Amino acid sequence: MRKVTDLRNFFAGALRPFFYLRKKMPLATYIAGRVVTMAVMLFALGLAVFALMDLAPGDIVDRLMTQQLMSTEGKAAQGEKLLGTEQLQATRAALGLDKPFYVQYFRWLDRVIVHHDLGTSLISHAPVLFLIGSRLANSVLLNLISLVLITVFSFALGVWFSSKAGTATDLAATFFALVLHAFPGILLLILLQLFASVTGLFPVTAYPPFPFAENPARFTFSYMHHIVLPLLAAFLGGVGGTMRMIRATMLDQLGQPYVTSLRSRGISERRVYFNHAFRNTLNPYITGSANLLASLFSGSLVLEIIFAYPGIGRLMYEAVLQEDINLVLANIMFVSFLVLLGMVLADITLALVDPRIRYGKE
Amino acid sequence: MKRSRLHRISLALSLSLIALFSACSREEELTLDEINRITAAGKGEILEKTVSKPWRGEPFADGKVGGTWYSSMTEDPKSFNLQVAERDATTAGVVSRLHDYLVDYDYVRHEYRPQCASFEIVTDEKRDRLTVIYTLRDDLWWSFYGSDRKVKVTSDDVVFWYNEIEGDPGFQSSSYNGHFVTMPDGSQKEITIEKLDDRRFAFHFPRIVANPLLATNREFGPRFIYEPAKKTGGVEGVLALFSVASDPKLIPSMGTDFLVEYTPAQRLVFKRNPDYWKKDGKGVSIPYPEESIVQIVPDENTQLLLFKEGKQDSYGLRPTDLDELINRKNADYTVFAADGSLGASFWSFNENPKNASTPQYAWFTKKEFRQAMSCLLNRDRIATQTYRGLAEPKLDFFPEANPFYNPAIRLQYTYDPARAISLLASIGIKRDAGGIMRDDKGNAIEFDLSVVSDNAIIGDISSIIVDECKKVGITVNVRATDFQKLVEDLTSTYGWQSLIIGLGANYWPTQGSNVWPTTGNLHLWYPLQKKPATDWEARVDWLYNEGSYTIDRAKAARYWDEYQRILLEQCPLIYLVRPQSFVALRNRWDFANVYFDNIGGFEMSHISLRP
Repeated sequence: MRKVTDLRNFFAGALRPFFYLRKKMPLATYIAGRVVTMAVMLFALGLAVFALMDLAPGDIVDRLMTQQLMSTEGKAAQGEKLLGTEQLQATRAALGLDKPFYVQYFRWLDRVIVHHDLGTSLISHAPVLFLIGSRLANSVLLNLISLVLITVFSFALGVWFSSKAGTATDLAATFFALVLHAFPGILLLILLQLFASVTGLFPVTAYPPFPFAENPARFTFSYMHHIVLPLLAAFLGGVGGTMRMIRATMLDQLGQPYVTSLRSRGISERRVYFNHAFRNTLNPYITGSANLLASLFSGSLVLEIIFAYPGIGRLMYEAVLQEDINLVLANIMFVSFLVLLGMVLADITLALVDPRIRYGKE
Repeated sequence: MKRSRLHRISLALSLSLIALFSACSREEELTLDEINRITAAGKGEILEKTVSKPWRGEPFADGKVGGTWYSSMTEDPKSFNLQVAERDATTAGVVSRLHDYLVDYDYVRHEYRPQCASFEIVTDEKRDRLTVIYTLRDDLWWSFYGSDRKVKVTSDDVVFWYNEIEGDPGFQSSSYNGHFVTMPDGSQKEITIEKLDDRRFAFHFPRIVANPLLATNREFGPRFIYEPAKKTGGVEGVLALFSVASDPKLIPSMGTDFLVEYTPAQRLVFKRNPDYWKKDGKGVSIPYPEESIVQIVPDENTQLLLFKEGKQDSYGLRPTDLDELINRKNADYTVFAADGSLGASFWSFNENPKNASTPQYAWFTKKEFRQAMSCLLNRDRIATQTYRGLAEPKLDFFPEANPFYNPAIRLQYTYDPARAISLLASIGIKRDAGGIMRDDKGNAIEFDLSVVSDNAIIGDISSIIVDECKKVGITVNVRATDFQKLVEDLTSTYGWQSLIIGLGANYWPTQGSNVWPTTGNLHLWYPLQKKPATDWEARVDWLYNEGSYTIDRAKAARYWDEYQRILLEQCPLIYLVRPQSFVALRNRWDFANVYFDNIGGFEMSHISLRP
């Protein structure tokens, strides 16, 4: 009993500064807490990824065997290049793949955290940072533009359709929103690509066929032309659900007693909508926007493959297929960090937007 | 109000139902014979609209320099390092444009010819020794793009590469095993290399081998770059050279092109190397296109769309693309057709004793069972249904291009269900009263067929096999599997029963040294045997070994003939069909120097724009 009391007193003393800070700077303490949580989640995520990769059949060395199976057909003058079983085992040992997954993971953590080295790809021996960096910017750009478009249009349409609730227009909008929400994204991408091919109005790829450095101005215009259809696909895939959510929240707010009270005081409908009800629709959207961003990132893989967009989704997909654990882990950590960061930012924005939300004991 | 809404809803519902049912029409289904007739007619129509232009040894006409060649590939290269490239086919394809081989093989005249080196083979039959002396051309250079700097290619490059890169076990190079020959006593002895002078070097074989040029022909890297990297960084230092993060313009080339740009996930740009040694009659070096832009497009459908839009100059047609591309009006391209491929996918059965407790093992290890399965394999139906008639049954073992191909040696177990039933009956497998095939222990004949999950063609073929086996009372369960899992099953877990997979063609009889000998790690049906499990496999091992070291052609032919006969009799692998291949080429290119056949593939080394 005394030991329990001692322990309690010990922890209370140790955590006193934290409680003090939480009282004085609740938001800052909340953010710090979220950052710590993020670090723990990333740690657990990395371990899970290593475990899953270990569970998946084969490894990168087995891929070499696959290459041998595929490459026994060569030109007539070229001799065979075959790896023996001992060589495969030696390669596995050299890459550390013969160790348990948790040992590999802690070695990776040591390299990344202590030596600040993301390492090299197990296949190409190219720096992981180079491989990711060249594509991350493309993915972030595309997904952010998608997010902005979805947000703007969802709010506009959601608010407008909430004013037409119960009418034929609203019924049609609901129908189309549900169709868009349920429509398979991959099919939409393929149809849009076919549309581009048949009409010739848009390119069938999503990225200009020349680098930015060649002609920045021409690249910018070409980029905007190339991403129209992929953006349209992302937009159509995301707007349905988000618009319905905004509409539902608006209708919920418009049914609240305070809105009746506002109307009875002669406040104009425009002010009721935009100055009062609309503000309360922001909360659920902000909360859901982080998930939306995560789904855009994960959904962009198919877009990147079909439209040959040089993003991180494709890199991750190829890395997983090739069981290049360094690349997979670095990719996942980057993307997960972005998504978790998005969630933290969403929470901060929520606190700023809604004065009812406070982080702290009150 | 309510009534009118109900009326509207019921009207909409009725219209929808009418539309739905009117879309379902009942057309007469075609019989197999009708399908075959239509397919045969269609095949003729398709081939009429293509061009057949195999290379028969014609000389290349002089072309003109200029133009940009647009093509695509499905994935990024992993590196621009020659040693890393050997582990990835895509990377090897990119890197090979910056290097060259010592010799080339003329598959029309069936002889080797000098490429960047001439050769002389010296044989000492008394001592059973053989030496191959290579002499490098005098006009070989490691050149740098946009620079006057040139470093001569010397025999030091080859010797260094052979000894210090391929020959260093630390690199785990797949070429390392090729540095050894098996002596008559079973031991392994190394093929050594000796520098004779700056241009001449010799490979010394510890015994006479049948094909020394095949064993010694290779690409190699520049010593003046790789050696310092090895000295300072060891194996990792070498492997880190010329990664995709490096500036491609700094990579020297002795090949046809310079790599001048790599934009990850986007494109590669090559420029022709004017210092390349191979020149036409006017002294102009090939290739003729000034620039080659390779776009990285992971999806084959997108590649097709790019080709249709005119943004690519060539496209390898899939069976599903044939109709559309061949019948396109006002097409600005021409479709070339080649005969059936040299290799074919095959059906194999697991004979690994690890599965000895299963009834399937008892069946699969009997040659009559395998022969019966070959008799149930309807190759004509596969060619018709899956390939629209554009494939031929593979009934030989060595392809026609193999120097030891013998047209008299053919598979004797072609489609014949009655014969299959008879063969099965000879090993106690008979149909019961319900028409189910059962073995002598009463087990119903049922087994799995593993196929790669993302291959629609193999999926079609497996359906045909299931159907044909079902007709005689055999149940085959198709297991669509991830390719990696299939490889794992083949090489470590051995948990598969039967499968369909493809390897390359045996252009040379000794190719597949990890497949055909019983010690091979890809000896599919029972790999890594410590000693041959059966008499016929022991005989095949002996024949393979003898054939590899016999230079007397007539004597070697006897060994290889028996080798083929045994494998076609025992049916450890049952070959399927050889599909024809098609490639489309934009008409803006001059076809005078363009050839396409099933041996050399698409020959466009001397392609140039139309005048």
